[in-house]
Amino acid sequence: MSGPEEKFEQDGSSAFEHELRQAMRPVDMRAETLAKFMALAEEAERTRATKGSGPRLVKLSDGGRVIAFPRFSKTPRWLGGAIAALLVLGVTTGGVLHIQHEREAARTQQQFEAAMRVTDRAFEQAQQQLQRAGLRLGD
Amino acid sequence: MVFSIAMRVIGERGVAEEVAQDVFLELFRGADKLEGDDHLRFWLRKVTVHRATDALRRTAVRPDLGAEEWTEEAHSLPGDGFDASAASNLAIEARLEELLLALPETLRVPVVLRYQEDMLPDEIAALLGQPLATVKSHLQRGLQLLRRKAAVTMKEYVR
Repeated sequence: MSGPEEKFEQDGSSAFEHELRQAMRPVDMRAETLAKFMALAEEAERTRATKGSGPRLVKLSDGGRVIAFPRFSKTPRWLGGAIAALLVLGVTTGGVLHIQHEREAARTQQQFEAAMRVTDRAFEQAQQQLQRAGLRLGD
Repeated sequence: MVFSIAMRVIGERGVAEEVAQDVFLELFRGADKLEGDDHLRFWLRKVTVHRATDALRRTAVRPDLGAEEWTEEAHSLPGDGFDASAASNLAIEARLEELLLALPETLRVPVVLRYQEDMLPDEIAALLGQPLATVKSHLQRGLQLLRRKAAVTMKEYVR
């Protein structure tokens, strides 16, 4: 003869438990909240990717100076190298580096675009994972 | 899954939505570290439970009845004579949701994982970082309390 505990462990399929499972069907997040969330997520990713991304003037041992951009955490190494190579073009040694406003604007734009690519990749990856697992945002 | 767990653990839609948002933001930041569907599900459930219980404590959303009070209501268990088909299923489900929220947090979380997520006790133990015996005990106790309360408040549905 089996007690309640044993029965519970065996099948967990009493009528009450069945009713409990029925009551616990997935509930959805409100559509407007989900839309706000997606906008928030994009903004958060953008902020994260560009956080502290202002160009820094770094002094070299030989007296030269170079503009350094922080590396994005999810940016591939080759992209960081490519940006660094571009920056080297702006290096002058033995003197103060003068930055043309146009060039600075172009670099800022380049950095922003790189950040946006990071954002897209992060989203795509996360969403693909959810999709593969049969999950979706909002439930 | 994420929002449903948060909603049933917290019981307040606005807070549950905030928790779900936090969990997905964290996923977006760390998705590349997760390998495979099982790892993803485990991670989502674990982070959601932690965030939800944290939020529950912060917002001081407490069950309206403690476990002790429940046990004092000595009523016979409905057992397998519980006949839901004779009643409005929607009404029963709504009431069960209310009763779930009255469970103490330590019992509510494993019950949600067991009956919403259909997780086995050993899976719940791994997720919560608790001994299997503790999880089984919490599940059994949670179920008993729910059944007792249901027997009292849903007499019309229980034979």
